[in-house]
Amino acid sequence: MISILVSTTGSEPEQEAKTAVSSDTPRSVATTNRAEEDAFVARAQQGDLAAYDELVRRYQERIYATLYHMTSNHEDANDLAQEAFIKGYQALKSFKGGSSFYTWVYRIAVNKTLNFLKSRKNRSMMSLNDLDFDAEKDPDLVALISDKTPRRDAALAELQKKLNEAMLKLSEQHRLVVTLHDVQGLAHEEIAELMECNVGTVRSRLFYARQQLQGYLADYLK
Amino acid sequence: MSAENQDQDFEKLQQLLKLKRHESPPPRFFNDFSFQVTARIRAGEGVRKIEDFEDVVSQAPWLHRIWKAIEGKPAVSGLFAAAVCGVLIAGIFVVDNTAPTMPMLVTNQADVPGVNPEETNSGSLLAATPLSGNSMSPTAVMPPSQGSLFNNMLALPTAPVSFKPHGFTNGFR
Repeated sequence: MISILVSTTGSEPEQEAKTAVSSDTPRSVATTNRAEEDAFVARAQQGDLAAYDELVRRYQERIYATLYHMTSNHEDANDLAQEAFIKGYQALKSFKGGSSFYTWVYRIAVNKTLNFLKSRKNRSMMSLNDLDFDAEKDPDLVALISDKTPRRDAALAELQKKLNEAMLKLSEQHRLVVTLHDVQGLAHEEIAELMECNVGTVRSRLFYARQQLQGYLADYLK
Repeated sequence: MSAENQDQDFEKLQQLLKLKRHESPPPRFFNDFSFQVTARIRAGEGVRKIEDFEDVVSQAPWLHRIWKAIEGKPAVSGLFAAAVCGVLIAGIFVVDNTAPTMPMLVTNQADVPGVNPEETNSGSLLAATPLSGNSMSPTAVMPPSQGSLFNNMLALPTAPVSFKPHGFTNGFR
């Protein structure tokens, strides 16, 4: 893991963090076997921790990944993800099933993270996860690195650092859209539901965020 | 600008952003994650039980006053703890002196007052008997022999037995 101190300067107007957790929201996102999930939720609402453990296992990776890309810090993402699941359990009785459990707990996690990033202000310590072995074989990434680069892994690590620094310069809302769309591959509609805004807002935020990133990373995109 | 055009404009950037998909947490990180979450939930429930106790205390004014007095002053809480320990030790002492001990099996009947050794059979088994006397000096007294199984065996007719084979005398023939 790499730890780097970074100063972030992103200060966009749309930084309002929604602190209230909406307990009853429409439609569902990423529902895999919804009936089974509902059964686990019902059991967890009765205090069955084993059922809640199953729900945590289902969504831990997706939620952790979002929080990690938002914070660029493994420890913070771990803490925030754990706290989000704990808060989810404590507030589970207020969950009425209007949305999927995933959407509901995801909003808790994102709201927690936005509040955390606000309190962290403009300074942040990056604690990046290591790149997996597949990174060196990814054709898109190989194309970005010169064939003459003597140490490709070192070049990738440098690129990773610069990319995360650029991400941290974005506002939280813009970073979230880029993370959900370009990193995690969610559709605009899904992002709109998660962020409780319309699809047009998602598109405009994504366009603006990409423009910003393109500027920050111009040297690496020639 | 359409979404398709947007994606074309940022093609290289999107390729670069793919790098973030390869950032993965330490191995086996997710193996322990849910366990840590449930452990913290359980710990939180423990804290909540303490809070429930404090709610009960706050609802009873007299209990609340005692609790406040103990909580705020270390000397008072120390005295209270010493008093509780004193009561506990005194209780153990009293119980130790009054509770019946294990019954003793007496084999020497002559040592037991009020029992005639002549009336007892020294060959009888040590049988568990009801306690006699009071709880301060419990003794088990051997009952007088009455129809003991071994006595009956002694009364049976007996004949000497020879273990020599038939026709065998001392020395070899």
